[in-house]
Amino acid sequence: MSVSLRLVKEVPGFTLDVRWKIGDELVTLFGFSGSGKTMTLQMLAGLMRPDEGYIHVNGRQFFDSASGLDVKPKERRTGYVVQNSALFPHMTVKENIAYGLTGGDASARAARVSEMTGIFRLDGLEKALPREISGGQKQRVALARALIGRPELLMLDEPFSALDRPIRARMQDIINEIRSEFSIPVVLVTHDFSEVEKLADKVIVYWAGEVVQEGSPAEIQKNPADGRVSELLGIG
Amino acid sequence: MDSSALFSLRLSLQVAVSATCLVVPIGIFFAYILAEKNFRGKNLLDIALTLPLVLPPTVTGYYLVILFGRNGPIGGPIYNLTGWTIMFTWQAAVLASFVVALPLMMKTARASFESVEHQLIDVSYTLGHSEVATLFKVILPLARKGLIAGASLAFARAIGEFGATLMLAGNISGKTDTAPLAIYTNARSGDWSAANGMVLLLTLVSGAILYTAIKFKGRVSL
Repeated sequence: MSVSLRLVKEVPGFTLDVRWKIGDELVTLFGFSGSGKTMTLQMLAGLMRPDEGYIHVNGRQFFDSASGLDVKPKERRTGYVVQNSALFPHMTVKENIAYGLTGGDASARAARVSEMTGIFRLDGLEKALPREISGGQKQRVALARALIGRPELLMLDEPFSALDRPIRARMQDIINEIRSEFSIPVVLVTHDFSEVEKLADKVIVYWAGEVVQEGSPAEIQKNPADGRVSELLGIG
Repeated sequence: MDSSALFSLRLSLQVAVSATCLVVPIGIFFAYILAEKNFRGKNLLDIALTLPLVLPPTVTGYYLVILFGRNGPIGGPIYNLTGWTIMFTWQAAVLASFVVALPLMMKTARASFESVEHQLIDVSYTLGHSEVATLFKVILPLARKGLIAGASLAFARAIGEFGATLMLAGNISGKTDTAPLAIYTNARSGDWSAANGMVLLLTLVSGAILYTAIKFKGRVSL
């Protein structure tokens, strides 16, 4: 399992130009707001088209500007979880989770949904609407929905930043648990280094649309590449 | 109420229901295209479909006569193939009502589509659903209040249509005289008592529809 990419995208007032490669690990894209982290995820998911570059996920080409290949988001099957959960407000918890499954017969689908509600400790909430559950529960539903279709890549865009600290810690534990359940590359966007330390195998540091350093959280903290990384770590 | 007034009311209902049945899917289609897609001529399409909202209905009717008349670019081939023309039939009243009611459905539906959080649409795509599936499972259910409001307004506009209908369908007693046309005829001939019932009924129906639209949309803005 691996992801490798090169992405170039120009939008008014900002240019993203990044290249990185990861294995079957949890990688955080770490940087200030507006440094291109979310843009990278959107391109990985197929929601935004790069001007130039390529995206390879587990040997499959998702995008290649040279050949003009651009696989549609629905065929990429990436799990994408965003800060505000983005649960469908008109669907129950169970329906939201089931929405992540396409095809298959009804009984197999039901079994899979109930398996996911178990893994994410959502038993008893199946019939609740998103507005009736807490922020932490919403994110667990969003994770279950993203993972039920067995994606080849999980992307988390600041998924816990709107949660209170104790709930955030519990969610981080859940992420560690599900990594053993679903062994796929996970790309987590964050600007909170304590989250990086707790979860990440590897950090890719973004600064104004460029990658300025890569390494383990300990390496980055010990040897920041330059003043920009120190500033990001709050030690500059 | 005499039999001719009942005929006019029944015809108005038939015309308005038929026009609304056409307006809803076609209005949703154009609203979706205009809300979600970027293409050349988008503004032109928007203007062309919205024009009947601001044009005098007789002008809209005039264009329809030019297009759908026996010698028109659309009506001509139909007449040559089938020997039938839509002019001065009840279907012409449906066409006139459809054209003037379409922008109301389209504008309301477009505003509802644009108010659906785009992230939900993106998430649906990443979960393996096509654009069509996302439209039916996410966008339409979330925009349903606006769609009901739009359909109600379109129905109200269709049932009250006068000018374009007069141009295209005429005012043929017992054939194309919808309630608004019959009221005009009665008022002109001084038969106020025949007009009163229809006026009252149309006022009540329109008021009830407006109430429905406001209830579903919170307010009505055009």
